[in-house]
Amino acid sequence: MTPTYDARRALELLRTGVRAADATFHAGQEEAIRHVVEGRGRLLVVQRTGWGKSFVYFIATKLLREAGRGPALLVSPLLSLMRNQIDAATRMGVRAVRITSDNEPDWLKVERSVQEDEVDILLVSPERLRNERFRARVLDPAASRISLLVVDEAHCMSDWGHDFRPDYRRIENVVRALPPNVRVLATTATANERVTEDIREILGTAVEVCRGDLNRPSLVLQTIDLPARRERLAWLAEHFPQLPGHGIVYTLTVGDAEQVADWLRSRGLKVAAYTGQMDSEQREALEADLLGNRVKALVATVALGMGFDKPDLGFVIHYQMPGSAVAYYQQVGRAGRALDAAYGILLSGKEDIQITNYFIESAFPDRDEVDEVLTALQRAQDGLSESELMAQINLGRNRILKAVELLSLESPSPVVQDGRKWHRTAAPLSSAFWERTERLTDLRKVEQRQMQKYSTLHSGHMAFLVRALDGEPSTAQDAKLPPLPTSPKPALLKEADAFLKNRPSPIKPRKQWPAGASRSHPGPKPIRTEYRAEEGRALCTWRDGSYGDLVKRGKYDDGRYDEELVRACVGMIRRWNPKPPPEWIACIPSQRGSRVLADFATRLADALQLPFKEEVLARRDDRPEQKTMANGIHKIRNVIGAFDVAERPMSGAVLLVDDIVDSRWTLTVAAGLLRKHRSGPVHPLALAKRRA
Amino acid sequence: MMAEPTPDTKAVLMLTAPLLAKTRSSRASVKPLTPKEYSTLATWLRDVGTRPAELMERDSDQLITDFTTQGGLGRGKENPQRLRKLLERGVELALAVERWGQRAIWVLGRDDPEYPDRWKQQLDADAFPLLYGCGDPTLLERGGLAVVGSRRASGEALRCAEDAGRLAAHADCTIVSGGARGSDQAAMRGALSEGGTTVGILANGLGRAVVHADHREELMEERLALVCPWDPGVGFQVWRAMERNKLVYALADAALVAAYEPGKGGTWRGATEQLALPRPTPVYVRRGEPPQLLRKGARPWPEPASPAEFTELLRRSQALAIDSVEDDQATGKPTTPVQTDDDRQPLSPTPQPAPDSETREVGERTPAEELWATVRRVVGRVSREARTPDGLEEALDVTPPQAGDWWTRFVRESVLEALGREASAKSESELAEAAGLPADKRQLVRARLQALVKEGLLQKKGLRPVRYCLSGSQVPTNAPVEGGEATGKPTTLVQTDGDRQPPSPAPQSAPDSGTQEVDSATGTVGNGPLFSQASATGST
Repeated sequence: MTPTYDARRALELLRTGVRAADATFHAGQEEAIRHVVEGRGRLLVVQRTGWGKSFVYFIATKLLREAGRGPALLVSPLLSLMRNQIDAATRMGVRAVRITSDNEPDWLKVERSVQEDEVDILLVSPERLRNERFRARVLDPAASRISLLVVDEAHCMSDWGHDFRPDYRRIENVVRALPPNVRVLATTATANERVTEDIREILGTAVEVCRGDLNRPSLVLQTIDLPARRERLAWLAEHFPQLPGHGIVYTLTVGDAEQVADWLRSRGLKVAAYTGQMDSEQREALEADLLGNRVKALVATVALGMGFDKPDLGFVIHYQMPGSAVAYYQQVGRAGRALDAAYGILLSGKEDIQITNYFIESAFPDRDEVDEVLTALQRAQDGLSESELMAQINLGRNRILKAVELLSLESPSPVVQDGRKWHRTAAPLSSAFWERTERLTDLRKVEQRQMQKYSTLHSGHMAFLVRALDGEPSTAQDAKLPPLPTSPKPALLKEADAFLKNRPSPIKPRKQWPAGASRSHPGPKPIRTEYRAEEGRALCTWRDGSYGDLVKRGKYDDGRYDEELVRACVGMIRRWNPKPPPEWIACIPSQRGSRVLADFATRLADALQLPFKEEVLARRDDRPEQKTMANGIHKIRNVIGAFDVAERPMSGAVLLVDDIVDSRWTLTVAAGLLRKHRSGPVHPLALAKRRA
Repeated sequence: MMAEPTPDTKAVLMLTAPLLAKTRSSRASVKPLTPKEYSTLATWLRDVGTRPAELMERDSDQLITDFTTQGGLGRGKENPQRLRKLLERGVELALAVERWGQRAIWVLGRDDPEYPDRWKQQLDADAFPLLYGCGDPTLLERGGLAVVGSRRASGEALRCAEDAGRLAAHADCTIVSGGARGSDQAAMRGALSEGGTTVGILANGLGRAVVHADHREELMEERLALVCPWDPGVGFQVWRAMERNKLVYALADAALVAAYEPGKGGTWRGATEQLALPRPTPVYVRRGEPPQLLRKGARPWPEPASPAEFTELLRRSQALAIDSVEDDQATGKPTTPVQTDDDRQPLSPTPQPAPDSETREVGERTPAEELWATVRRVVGRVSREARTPDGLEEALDVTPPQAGDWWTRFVRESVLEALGREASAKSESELAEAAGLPADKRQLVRARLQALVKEGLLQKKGLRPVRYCLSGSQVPTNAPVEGGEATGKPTTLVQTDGDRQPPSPAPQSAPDSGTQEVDSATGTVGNGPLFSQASATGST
């Protein structure tokens, strides 16, 4: 029997959930619940965060369960599905179970509760769906009774969306294959008309759309152009402490998040960096810190993303400009949900476009990469593992993985993962794959231009954003707070500059040769302790807007490294104080007779009053530049056997100088060679580190 | 490539397919309909003027109620409930379809236009409700020559098969085979090497076969179609190989038996079954083979020497087949699908050989048994702590479902053996000890024991601590397996391998309990490639 909607019971659940005896449904909520419960076809809900989408699916789930239906499956990219929402679910008697890669030990328990029908709603991330083990152990057994599929952040399914996520293609394929008797609820906060159309098409026939107002009257939006990083750091140092309440500072890159957090902390402010490189436990703890007002702000990349819900967030500052207006609306929209006024400030810098260009260009594999991957897999008798792919193709690990993963999401897919190996299937790669890639790339560029336009606005910010989302801009209102000053103080500028110039990073010693590096020894193999380098230092990060730019100029434009870099290295070595102290200096011999690095090492040796033994390390032959080797296995093959020890090394500790370090294999091999010829401990020093 | 299943096929999948249940066979909560049961339902649906897809609509409840109250699968209380539960598997269906799509596997239902008319026509109600496949499905409609033969074929037999394949290619005729080693593969190789087309009808392991390097090019060029009427993940079972034989014959205009041993093996059985049909596909036997099949109505292979002769032979064969139908079909058009109920009369009962008429070569194990014996030995060597699904996955480097299946089977057999040795009840930890299971994985072991209790193989005794013993009456040495496609099949065939485990504690030590010899025509053994010498890899 089709369950009938019980309005009295639904209201009772809502009131229990929000703990308010007089609560009533927001506009549209009740209709949405009724629609789902009565199985009137698929439903897309487009409502701003905070409207209460979770109440729709939790109450609908509960009513379905009470009518004897199977549990619901919620696919959501949220790491910490809002603790307060889970609490509300628990109060309503909805048994929600979340499955992440981190709680694998609990899977058995989950398996059992699913089997015993003790779970009302199963929460999984889209990435989980690609994990075979998870599917076999948890999802497959649960799948036989699922009565409602909820796709959260459904705009990620659309190739027309600003936030298309490859893993959502898998969900799209699943949704398309669903028979009509499975209830589907798709929810999103941000979908323009194009995206809505796209989702409607994926969901199939009989889709209702429930759409709300996009205007956010409490947001005070402002844009400030400060080209140099030090200007923005100085601006933050001055204004950040005065901002009301607690908030988020968004950066585009992990390095910037760490840098800004370090800077603010060095000024006595309680902030923490939050990036996708942290594990989910750390990230959850940080989110909890912000929710509990234990930090003034998190300095975060987009990893602090969808669904983070702190209704009293007082500000969202962007340290760099995001790639699209929709993404910006979503991020800035986290501020002031339950406040009368909150700041949304966009600082834009000169590196923004370069970074977002990189994101756009690297989002998809190009034709050559795809060709190489497909050809390698096609030649393989029985598939290739990740490291076998890396050994065969000179492409970065991430590029290779991106290519195979994207290809595997095609339907039918030209490649498939079976255990640890990737196989070529009989399906050809359809031209739709490239059409989508090109369309998305073009779209990203349009979005980028739109965002640039936003960054130059003097007024009408909210109306601009609402229009970008195909909303109704006429209701947009003016700011309720005074605008913030736009220029930084000179004294602070100086401090920020000094801060930026003193950011060396450690060069961790490599401890093992990778699998696939040696043909005679296929597995990973430890490097003998006595041949390893010590932990070294890199003066700065390649093209970091400070010394990093100076290094680039020296290497490629001037043919000589600036004297300031020598001074900076001397200062850094003093502070670093490597033990045992170096007694002599060696440097990585250059290709094709270049003297740029040797010249630098000579001057550094003079400044440190140490002997520079230029002749100790010699190059056996000229090889392709290491930077043209795209993955670890190729890099190490390129460097093994490249050097000779031409003169006996001194027996004391040595400072081994290189210009740019990325994979560390050059330093590892050279250090090993020196140690083998009885030099003392090797302290690597590089001018700049290239971010992996 | 084909798109997702049609709505009707989706309904049939939910009603009849294991979908994802195979990865945890012991957990399958509701039994899919057998092909026979589904036929009853399909006929009823047609009679009331509706289609399977209607069962997925919002108001399908009444339809289900009507069906069961009008007799349907019987008026049992569980029947409407069973159908509803099967139809609740929508998400499971979608996940399965998505997974097949990843391997470029499509699924056809009997009502889909691409589903081979020949099967609907010749197998009638026995035609499988579903067909999984990869490659160009239109190859299935081209008829052609079936080549079958035992695995141990002589060089001459192989040459004959390969020549037939080559000639077929030049005559633009498709080779149909079971894809097994020996004659089957020789014929396919011959055809493909000359640019011809082939259809491989597999009894198991489709999922693995479609990504194998040896088939990829031909699949992509749409010169090869691999199909299987069972789930792409099923393991090898003798009865499936036997069923598959019928499909091979039914798809072709004529069949060539390249090698056989009289009185035994799948080739013999398949051919004799075919010859006993009222409208058999003409069967030819290679010259030099024993005469027994000729006495049962087969014809000697005329060894066509040119494409023209080959074409002529096929044409004559079609005529032979038509002659035999003309008596009851006025049109004489063999490709007219059977539509009316009158035509749906069951074919003369297929002679189901009595169990004891089957022989098995003493001491010969099927490759599947051999594989499992090896697996057991290897698992026995893995450290006890690592005898868990995760541990095996790691130690044996197999996929998680494979490790899970092997582990489940290992536990099952070890526990049953341990309890069979000493006729006393044992506690969980005693059992873990006796059966060599990891001592620190109590919950895993307990879950397995409970599954065995649920299956009725073990009984619980006492409470604190709970003790287990064999539930005496229920530990057969040779019992029909539970669930799934096995139902309604001759129970005399021991399940030799695959996703379902024989309840017998030690299947490989069971005496010749009616197991068939597996030979070429019946056995693509394991899940290995079709055309290479590589043998069963056991992983799906």
